[in-house]
Amino acid sequence: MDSESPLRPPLILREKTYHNITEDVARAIESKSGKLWCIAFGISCMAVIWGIGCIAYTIGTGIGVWGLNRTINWGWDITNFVWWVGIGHAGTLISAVLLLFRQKWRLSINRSAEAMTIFAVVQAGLFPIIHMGRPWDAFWVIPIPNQFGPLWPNFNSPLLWDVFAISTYFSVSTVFWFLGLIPDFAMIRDRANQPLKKKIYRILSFGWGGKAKHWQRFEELSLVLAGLCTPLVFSVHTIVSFDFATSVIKGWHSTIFPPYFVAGAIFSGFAMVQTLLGIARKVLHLEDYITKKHIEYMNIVILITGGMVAIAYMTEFILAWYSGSSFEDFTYLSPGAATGPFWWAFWALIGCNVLIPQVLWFRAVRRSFFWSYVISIFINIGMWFERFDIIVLNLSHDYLPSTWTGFLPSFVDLGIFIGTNGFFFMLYLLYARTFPVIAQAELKTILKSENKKYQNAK
Amino acid sequence: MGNTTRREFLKWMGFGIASATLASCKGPVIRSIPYLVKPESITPGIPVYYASTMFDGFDLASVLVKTREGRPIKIEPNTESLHFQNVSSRVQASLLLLYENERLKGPSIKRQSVSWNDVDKYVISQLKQIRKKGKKIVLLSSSFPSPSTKKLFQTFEKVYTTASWITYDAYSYSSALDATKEILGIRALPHYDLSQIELIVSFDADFLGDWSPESLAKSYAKQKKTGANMLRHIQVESNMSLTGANSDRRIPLKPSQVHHLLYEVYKAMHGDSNHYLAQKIYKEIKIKGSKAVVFAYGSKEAYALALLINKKIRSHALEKNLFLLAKESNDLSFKKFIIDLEKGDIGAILINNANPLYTYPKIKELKNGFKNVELTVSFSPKEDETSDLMKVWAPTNHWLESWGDTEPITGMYTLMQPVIQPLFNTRQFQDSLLIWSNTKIDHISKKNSMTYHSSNLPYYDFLKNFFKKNILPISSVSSFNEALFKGCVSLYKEIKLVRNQNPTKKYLQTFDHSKKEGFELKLYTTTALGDGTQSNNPWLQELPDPITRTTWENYITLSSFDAKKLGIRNWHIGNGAMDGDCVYLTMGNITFKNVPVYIQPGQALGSIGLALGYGHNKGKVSCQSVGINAYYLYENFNILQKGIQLKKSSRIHKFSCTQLQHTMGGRNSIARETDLETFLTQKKEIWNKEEKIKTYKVDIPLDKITLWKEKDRSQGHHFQLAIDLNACIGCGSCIIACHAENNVPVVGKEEIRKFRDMHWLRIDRYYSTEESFESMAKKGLSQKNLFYEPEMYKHLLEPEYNPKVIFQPVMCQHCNNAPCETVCPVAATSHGRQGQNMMAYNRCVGTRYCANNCPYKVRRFNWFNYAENDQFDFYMNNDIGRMVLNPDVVVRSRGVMEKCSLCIQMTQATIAKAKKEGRKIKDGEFHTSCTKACPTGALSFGDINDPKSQIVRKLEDDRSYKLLDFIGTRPNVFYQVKVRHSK
Repeated sequence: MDSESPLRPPLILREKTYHNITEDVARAIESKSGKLWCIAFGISCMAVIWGIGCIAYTIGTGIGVWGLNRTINWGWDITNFVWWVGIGHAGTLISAVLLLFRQKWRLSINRSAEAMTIFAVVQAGLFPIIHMGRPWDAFWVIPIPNQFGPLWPNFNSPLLWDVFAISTYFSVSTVFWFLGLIPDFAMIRDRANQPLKKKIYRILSFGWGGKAKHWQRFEELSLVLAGLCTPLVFSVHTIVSFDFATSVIKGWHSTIFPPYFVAGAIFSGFAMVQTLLGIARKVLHLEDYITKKHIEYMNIVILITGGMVAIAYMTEFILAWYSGSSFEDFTYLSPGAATGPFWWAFWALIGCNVLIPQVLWFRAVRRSFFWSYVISIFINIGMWFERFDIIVLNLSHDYLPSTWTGFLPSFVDLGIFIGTNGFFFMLYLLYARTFPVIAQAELKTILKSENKKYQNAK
Repeated sequence: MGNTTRREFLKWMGFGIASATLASCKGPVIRSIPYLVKPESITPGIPVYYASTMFDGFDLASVLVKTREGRPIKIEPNTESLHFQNVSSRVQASLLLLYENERLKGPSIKRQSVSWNDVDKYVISQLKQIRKKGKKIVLLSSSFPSPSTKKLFQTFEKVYTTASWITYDAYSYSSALDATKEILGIRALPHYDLSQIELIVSFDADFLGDWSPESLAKSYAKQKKTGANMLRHIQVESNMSLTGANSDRRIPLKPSQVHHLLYEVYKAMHGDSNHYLAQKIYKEIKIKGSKAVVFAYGSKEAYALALLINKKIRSHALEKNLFLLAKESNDLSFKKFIIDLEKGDIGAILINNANPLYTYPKIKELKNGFKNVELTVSFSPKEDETSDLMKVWAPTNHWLESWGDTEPITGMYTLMQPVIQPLFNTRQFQDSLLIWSNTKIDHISKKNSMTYHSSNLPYYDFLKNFFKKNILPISSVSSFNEALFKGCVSLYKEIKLVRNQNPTKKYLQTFDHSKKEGFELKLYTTTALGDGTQSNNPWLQELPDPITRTTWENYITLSSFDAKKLGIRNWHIGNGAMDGDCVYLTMGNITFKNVPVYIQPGQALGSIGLALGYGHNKGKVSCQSVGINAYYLYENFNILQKGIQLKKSSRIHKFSCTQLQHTMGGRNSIARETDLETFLTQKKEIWNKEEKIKTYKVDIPLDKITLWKEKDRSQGHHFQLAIDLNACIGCGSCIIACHAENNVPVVGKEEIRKFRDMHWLRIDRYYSTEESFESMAKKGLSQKNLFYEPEMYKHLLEPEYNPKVIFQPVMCQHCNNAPCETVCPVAATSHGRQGQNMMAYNRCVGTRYCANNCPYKVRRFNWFNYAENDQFDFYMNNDIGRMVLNPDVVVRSRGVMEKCSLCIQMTQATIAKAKKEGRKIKDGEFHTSCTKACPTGALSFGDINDPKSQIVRKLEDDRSYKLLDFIGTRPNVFYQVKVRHSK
C-alpha cells in the first residue's frame, strides 16, 4: 500500500534522473569558476585583509582602538559574537532536527546550511579571543593542567561555559557535516580525472565503497549524531544567553533569555540560509532543487520564530514598565530606550525583526524568491541590532546615572566586523567550488516517490 | 671525518644554530644596585616620614612627606599641626612637580648653560653697577610668609641699598587685607573659628575653596554634625561654587546684586532697609546672634561690611583673635612697581614664585618695561612665560628639596626641610640671595663645583641661627631638631593691633552700585588648578572639576536661560561626549574668540563665570589643556568685572566631561538626602528606607534571601569603609591621594572625552530636579501612565534652575557577594579574607566581563599601555617622572582591569607592624589613602570585627545605608545619609 499522499507536490522540479542530479551537483566543482564567483571571491579577500589588519592593530596597540569606554566594556565585539553564533544555529537545526522529524525537504539545503553554520561559528569563535585585553593568555580559560599552582579557570563564569558550549557545538557539527559529505566525496572521486584531484577526494571520502554495510553504518551514525546535535542546538544559545541572564545588570538579568535567544538564533539562522541560498541557487543553477516550496517552509519557520521573538520583546517591554523600578527605565526594550539617545537602534530592531517579517503572512510573499531574499537581509540586520541593543543599550544606562555614557564604534570595530563577513563569504565561496553543495546521495532517495515513470511502465 | 654521516652533520648543525640563537636572546636587564653602606635611616621597603611645609607661592600646608628609599612619594597631612592641616588636591599633587622632566636642569645666562659660579659673578657685578647708578633692584615675589627669608632680605637690602621686595600675588587678596587692616587693625586675614557657629551667611565667599588661605572645610564639616544645633549655611553667589554646592540654601544672584544684598543686610542691621530678602536674612542672623558669621568677597567694601556685621553681632568666629599671615598681597606696591618700570627707574628684577607675563593683564606695558631693565633674574624652576624675557635663569629648588620656614598664622611657625637632594643643578633662591649679598665672591669660587649640596650652602645655617635667635625663645620646643621633627611649633607672641576709628560710613558711601550693559563676570579659581601655579601638573589637569566634572579646560559658565537667549547649546554626541557652542567674549577693548560655554545649573541670571589658571603657552601639559587665559580680564585685581558682551560664534567645542547625566533621574535611593526636621522628628523608615525584597506576601530583609553561601567573616579583620555624605564637600583630595598611592595613570584630554578616565575613586555630583516621582504623580505624570512616560523622563533628567547639589564619592564597593567575581573566567578577581574584593593583575586576560557586571561601574580597564608609551606622554613616560611611583603598587600593563583595592598595601603594612611589635591594632590605626587625605573626615575606615571601633558605631548609625543594596551585593563600603538644614 502506498502511504505517500498523491497531493504532495514534488520536492525536485523537472523530471530528474539519478544521473542528472550527479551532473548538477558535480558541475560546480568540475567546471571553471565563473566571473561572478571570481569577483565575489576578490571582494571577500579584500575584506579579510582589512579585517586582519584591524585585528593586528588591536592586538598590537590595545583594545582602546575600539569605541568602548569605562561603562560600555563590550560593544561590537560581543554583538558580532552573538550574531554569528546565532546564525550558526540553522544548519544543525535543519540537518539534525529535521532528520529526526523525517522532513525530506531538508535534503536540498542541509549541506549548505550546515556549511554556513560551521563558517559562522568560526567567525563567532574569533571574537572571544580578540576581545580580550591580553589574547596571548587566552589559553588560561581552558582547564588544562598547568604550572601556575595549578590554577584552574572559574567554573562559575558563563564565559567559561561559552568556551565549552561553542567548542562542543563546533566539533560535533563539523563531524556531522563531514559524515554526510563522505558518499558525495566518493562520487566526485569517482568522476575526477586529474590525479591530484582524485587523490584529494580519495582521502576525503575515507575509502567509501557504497556497499550495503557502508550505508548501514552511515545511516546509524547519522542518527546518533543527529540525536547528539539536537540538544546542542538549544544548549549553545541558552548558554550564550547566560552571559547576560546570570549578570546583575538591568535588561540583562532576565529569565526569559534562554528560550528567547534560541528562538532568535533560529530566526536569524534561517534568515542567513535564505540569504546564502538566494545567491547559490542562481549562481550554481540549483533552481530545480531549491524550490518555492523550500523557501516557503523556511519562511514559515522564520515567521514562527519571529513571532516568538516578538512576544519576548513585548514581555521585556511590559516587564520593564510593570516592575515599577526606576532602574529599568532605560533598558533596551523600554520607553526610555525608545525615546532616548539610542532610539534609532531600538526602532531598527522593532522595524527589522517585528514589523517587516509580518508580510510573510501573505503566501505570495512567502513563495517569492525576491521578497524572501529582501526580508532575510532585513532580519539579518535586525538581529544584529537586537544584540547591539541588549549589550550596548543596557550598559549605557545602567544603575548609577553618573556613569552613563554613549557609544560610537571606531573604524577598527567596523573593520573587524567587515573582515569576519569577508572571511565568512570567502569560506563559503571556496566551499561552493570544492564541495558538493547538495547532499546528492541522500537526495537521490527521494526520487523514488516521484518516479511515476516506472509505475506506469509496470 | 668519515664517521660523520649526513644525518649526524645536520643534527649537530641544527643543534648548534638553535643553541647559538637561544644564547643570543636576552631578556632586558634591570639593574638593581644594593646599598654598599646602608644609610642609617633607610630600610628598603619601610617608608620614612618627614614633617615639612608645603609652600609654592599659592598653597600652604603643614605636611608629612612619605619617602621610600630616599624618594618622596606622597604628601600626607601633619595631624599634629594646629592649622593648615588640609592637604588639598593641589598640595598633594605638588609632589609630581618635583619629578617634572621639564624642570630646568641648571643655571644659565641668556640661555647659555653656565655654572653657578658664573651666575654669581655675573649677577654680583651687575648688581654692584646698578647700585652705583642708584637704580632700583626689585625682588618680585608672591606672598612669602617666611620670617627667615624676610630677615635674609634685610641683609640683602643692607648690601644693595636700592633693593626692595614687591609682593605680587596673581590672585590677589589685597582688598580683603586692606579691609581687615582698617577694621581690625592688622594687615592680615582674620582666622574664622567655626567651632561655635550655627549660621553662616556667605556673600560670594568660596570659603571651602580659596577665599581663605586656610580652607575652612574641616571645622565646617564638624559643625555640620547632625543634631538640633547643626550648622545652617546660606550662600548668596553668582557662580555655582563648591561652597555654594554644599550650602543648605543657595541664592543665585549676579555679583552686583550679591553685593547689594549684603549692603541691604548691613542696613537692615541698622534698621533702615526695606529689602525683603535682606530683612529675612538679617532675621536669621539676629536669632543666632553671636553664633552666626557673615563672609563676603569681591571688593574691599564687601569684605569690610561683612567684618562690621561680625563685629556688631560679636560673632564667636572672630573670638580667638588669630590672623592668617599666609597672604600679603599688595596691589598698591605692585602698581607702583609698574609705574617705576615704565619710567625706567628699575635696574634689576629678580622674580620668585611669580609669572607676571602670564598673570598681569597688560602684557605689552610689562614687556616694554622689561626691555629697559639691565639685570633680569628668574628663579622659576622651569621655563614659563616670564622667564622667556629673563637673562639669568637661576632655578630654585622644589619645596621638597628646600629649607625654609613659614609663619602662616599668628602663633604658629612651621619648618620646611629637604627630603631629597636636589635632583638637578638647582639652588634655592634664598641661597642665591645670601651668596649675592656677600660681595666677596672668592669664597665660593674655590669649591667651584657644578652641583651644590645643602651642607655647603649658607641658607641652612642662616635659618638655624634665625630660629635659635628669634623663634626658640618664644616657642614650645627646646631645639631646632625637635621643631624639624614636629614640623610646626606654637609661638607665644603678642601681635600689635592698631585699632582704627569706626569707618562704617565710608564703606556705605564708596559701595559700588554702578550698572553696565551686558553680563557680569566673576573670575574664580578652580579646585584643581587654583591660580594656575601648578597648571603643568597632569594629576590636577585630569582632576574633574567637582561641579562641572570637566577636565583639562576652562570655559564660561552660563545659566540656561541666558544660553537660550543667546542661542547657545550643550549637547551630547553619539558616544556620550559633550559638545558645546562657543562665544566671542568682549570686555572693553579685549576680545576673546571662541570661548566655550558650559551651561551651568545654578548660575545666576545675567552673570558668567570663568576660571583662572588656564591658557598657558609654556609647559607640555599646560599646553595640552584647552582654555583661555582669564587673567587678561583680571583688571585692577578685581575678580568681578562688568559690561561683558557675548556673541555666539560658529565654533563647536569638544568638552572632556566625565559625567553625561547630571541628575539621579528619579533614582533617589542612590545619594540619599533628607532635611534636618525630618531627620530629627521622623523614624528612620521615612528618610532612610531599608531596601527589602518584595515577595507576594511580605517584604523580606535582604539578608534573609540570598543565593550565596554566607561565609564566616568573624575571624581576623573585616574592613569596611564609611562615607559620610553629610561631611563630604566634594573637594577631590581623595582622588589625588588615590592617584599618588596607587599609581593611577593619567590618560589625557582625548581619552577622558571618550569616558576612559582611570580614577579608582570618583566623586559623583548630582543636581536635584524640580520634579520627583511623587510630585509628578500629582500632576498625572505617573509611572503607571505608560503614554506619558517619555515626558516624565525628560523632566527627571533636567536639573532645575537652582538645584541642590549632592556629592557622592564612589570607589569599588568591595561587595561580599561580588558580581564581578563570579563572572571572571580565569578567577582573576576574587574575595579576600579581610573583606576586600581583590584583583590579580597577572591573571587577568581582559575580558572586561567584570566591569560590565559591576553595578557601580568602578572598574577601570587599561585600554592602552599608559606607562612608557609616547601616546601618553605624561610623567610615566620618562625616568624622572616614574620616580614618583609607589613601589608597593605595581604599574598595570595594557589589557588588564584595575580598581580600588582598599589600599591593601597599607592595611597589610599596619598588620605587619603591629605583629612585629607584638600588639593588637588600635582603633583608628587602619587607613586607606583616601581616608588619610580627607580633610573633613567624610571617609573613614576600620575593622568591623573590632566591636568597639568607630566604624562599627558608624555602621550601626541610623544614617548608614549601602549603595544599590537591593541587588544583593552586600558591599563593604557604606554611606551615611546627607542631612540638609533647609527650612
